[in-house]
Amino acid sequence: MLDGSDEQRSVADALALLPCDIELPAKWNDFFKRTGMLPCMRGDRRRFTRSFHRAQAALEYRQTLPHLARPAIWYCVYTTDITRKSIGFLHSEQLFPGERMRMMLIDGSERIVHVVRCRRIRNRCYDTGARFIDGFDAPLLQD
Amino acid sequence: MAKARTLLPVAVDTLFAPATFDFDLYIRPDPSGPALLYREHSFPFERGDVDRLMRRGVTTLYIPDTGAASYQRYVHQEILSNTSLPPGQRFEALTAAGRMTFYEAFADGQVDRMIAFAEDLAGRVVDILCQREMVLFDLFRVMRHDHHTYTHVTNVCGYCLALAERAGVSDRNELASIGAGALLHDIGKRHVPRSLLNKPGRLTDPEREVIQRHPSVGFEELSPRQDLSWGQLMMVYQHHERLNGRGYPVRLQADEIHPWAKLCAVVDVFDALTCQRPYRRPWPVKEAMAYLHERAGSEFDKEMVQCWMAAMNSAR
Repeated sequence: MLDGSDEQRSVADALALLPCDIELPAKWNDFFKRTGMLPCMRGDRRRFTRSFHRAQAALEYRQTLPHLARPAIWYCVYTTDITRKSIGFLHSEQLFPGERMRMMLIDGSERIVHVVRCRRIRNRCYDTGARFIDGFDAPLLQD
Repeated sequence: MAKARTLLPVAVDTLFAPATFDFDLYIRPDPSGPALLYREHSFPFERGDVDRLMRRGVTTLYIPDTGAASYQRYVHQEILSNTSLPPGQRFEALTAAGRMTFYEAFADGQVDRMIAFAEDLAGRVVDILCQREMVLFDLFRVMRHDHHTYTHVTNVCGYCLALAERAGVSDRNELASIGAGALLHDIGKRHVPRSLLNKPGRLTDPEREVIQRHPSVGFEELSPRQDLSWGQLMMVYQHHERLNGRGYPVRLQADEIHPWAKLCAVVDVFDALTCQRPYRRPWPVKEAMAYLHERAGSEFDKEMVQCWMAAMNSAR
């Protein structure tokens, strides 16, 4: 039986096989080293504290919106921060508010995420915010 | 005296005397002052009344929002169906009726009704514009220049269609689609508190954040629908993006922005500048054009701005 670290290693091995062409800005060379809590920002109305969560994760594409062709494929993304209800991640493509996708985190857990915002950092680097949809069986398509 | 928020502006030009209306008419002698009862419902509105109002320079009266449906019926029956009237007058009546419908739909959150009405109104506007009898300057003249969202969207619809035609779009269906997208481009503002939209003073950073969410909120609301095109959705989502990447919500750059959103951005700003806002007076057309010209190529699509300037210059 795999223990926690073994599972993380096997997830990491699987993630290494996924397409990943995120271009991090040069000044973010310590991206994966950040840990701990994020400081509160002025005017921040978050209900739950945010922690740095710098790791790879897998994002499963499916058809999300009627007019947007999304091939069924897994991508590697970089998670940036996490709360009980939401997650931030970097991706090489622009995602749109309302899209729902399946995400596998580095610890092997799977969640459905609902994209809330997306901001371009540079070519092939989009900072995306999503909230978790409760329950693994949450519908991927919105009603 | 009636509360200002219960009253809707109607152009005097759209009230054909002699007539008897089902709704009260109010007048605002001082534009920033209270509205006073001008003509009670069922009391005849005579030709002499129109002349007197015109002599006093009154171009706008107000009706209670409860009379909106009755006003719309009147406009459709008496004006839109009357092809002997000049296109400018029919266009003005059309947009006046459009403002009413959008006001109601904005207030009630009736998205289906708004979309159906946007398609209908855009088609009618295209038909009037395609008659070639109304030039762009007529279009500008008949626009209402107040700051209400439902006025702004009908203005942007007219301007978008004029610019799209100038930029070479000739297909009627494509024009109607652009017009409907323009009518919906600010749909996300339904979720912004009215007090914020009409705030006279400077916005705080958190307030600006709330307002800047409207493209995302509007997109998310409309994107699951099959009856809207991707171009229309991009008008909703990207009309505040700028070529230099300093727009919002995504900070996209030049080629990443949909052409219809680039088109919408030019006329959206033009209308915002030339309209009366709670915090400033309207800019003269010349200054608004200079603003766009200075930012052509950096913020706005150069070709679109050139088309818009050429259209406005040839119209004057």
